[in-house]
Amino acid sequence: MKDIRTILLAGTLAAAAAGCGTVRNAEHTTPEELAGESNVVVVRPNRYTLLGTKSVRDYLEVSYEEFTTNRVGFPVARIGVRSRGGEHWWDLKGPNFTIYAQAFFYAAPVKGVKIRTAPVYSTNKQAVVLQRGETANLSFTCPVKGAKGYQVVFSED
Amino acid sequence: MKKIYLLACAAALIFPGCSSPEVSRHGRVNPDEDVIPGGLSSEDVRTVASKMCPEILSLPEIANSAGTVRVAIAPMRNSSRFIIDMNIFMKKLRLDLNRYSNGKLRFFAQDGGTTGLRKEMLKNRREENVDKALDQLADQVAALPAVKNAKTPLKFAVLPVVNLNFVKLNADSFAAMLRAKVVEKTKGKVQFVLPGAKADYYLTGQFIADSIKQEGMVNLVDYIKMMDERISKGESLDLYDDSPASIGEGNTGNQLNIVRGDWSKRHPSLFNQLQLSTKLREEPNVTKRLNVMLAKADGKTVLWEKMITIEKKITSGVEKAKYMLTGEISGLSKRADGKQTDYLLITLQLVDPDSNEVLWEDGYEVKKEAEAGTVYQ
Repeated sequence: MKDIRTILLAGTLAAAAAGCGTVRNAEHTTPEELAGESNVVVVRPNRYTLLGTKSVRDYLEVSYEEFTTNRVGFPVARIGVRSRGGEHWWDLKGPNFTIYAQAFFYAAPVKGVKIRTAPVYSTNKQAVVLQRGETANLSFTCPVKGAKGYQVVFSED
Repeated sequence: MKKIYLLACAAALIFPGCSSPEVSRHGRVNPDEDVIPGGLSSEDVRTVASKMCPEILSLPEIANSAGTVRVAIAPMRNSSRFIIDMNIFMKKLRLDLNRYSNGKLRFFAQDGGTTGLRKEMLKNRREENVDKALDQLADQVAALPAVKNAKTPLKFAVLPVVNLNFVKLNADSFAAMLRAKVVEKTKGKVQFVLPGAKADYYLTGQFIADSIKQEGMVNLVDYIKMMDERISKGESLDLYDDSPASIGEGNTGNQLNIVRGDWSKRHPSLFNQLQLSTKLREEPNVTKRLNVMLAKADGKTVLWEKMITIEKKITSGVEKAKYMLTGEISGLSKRADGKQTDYLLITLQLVDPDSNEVLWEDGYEVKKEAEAGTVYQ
């Protein structure tokens, strides 16, 4: 029993000592996780409750995605985002809300690719006001030719 | 006791994972975040630039242009109720355009912050350029057949350079510099004599200003003739000599009336005008040239004449712009029961200055709600 106590004590001290280090390695996103991301993602909400999250992701749906080039060859990502309205038995009406969309353009496709490079261009975070049932038709043009992939990140703030 | 001890150790290991990190914003917010509702915000400035920059660069007139496209920026107009720095939209847009156009677009320093230094730099460069130009003039004089093939040294007299337009240019210094260079380049084939002595050639010149009202008041050929007469009479060579002794009845009626005037109907000489007029004492921002002439003393025929640029007009450069970018902020505001809404429409236009055609136009619209009036500082 004394040995177990010693081991636990050592473990506790080791765990506490780990926090004293000046630097620690930052965690990297795993290639599998990157490959699993789609072209449109929603940032995790900043609030959790015991009954689940309060994410606007519940109310969002992507109605279309297009990735084309414009008349001079600049990549253009077009996305339709619709507010679905009430999704829970305790809120059948659903909210009108504002979310922020930021588009990133990459030299390589995003979907299914395990390695991510720095974006060649990114927009700022642009406010999108959505009312129940409304579809916001978003369009992002990349002024850098040759982008092959994009990702639009929606966040609550 | 042992169980409590074990439980405490286990809890110490587990609970840190449930804690939220203690992070602070240190008073900073993301520029895309609008923490104070109502009115225009940094997010709007950034969104306008983010949307408009690719649109402008996508114009075929710019994207398919072979060379650099120069764009002048006209100040935005503000028709909304908000008092804001109108340059901020254009500045952010210009930043993005410069960043992503890869040198295809070029703008002008129009904000005036660099004007003083630019003028100083150009003046310093002017001195170098004048020196080079005078060198070339001296080379040309040395290469003249009359000079090159002269058996005996030619006698040159320098007549004062006519300088009616500029009060801050020392005409005589240019003549002296040119004289020294001519002596050096001709290697003894030209000798300069003092005015009044018998000379083979007169070397003189005239400063010429582009687009200035007083230019051309004295013709250079007439000037040489008049000077020659005065030399032969032993009179002063000072063009602006206004002493009673130098003005006789016979001197009225020629072009120098302006300078010398009729004694009975005297007008202030131009020199006096220049001295008294604050407007004329300002150095005019025009292209200044020096016309140098070598004339035969006997027949008054001009042997050689050359014009050099002393100073180029300092311009903002916008005359080289192919297009101009401008815009307007329009607003519609409502207020009731302590609440107010503002609908704002920010439009941008790219205009061809030659045809005044709007080449491109796009807009960004936003409506904001606030509890109270928004004040900008």
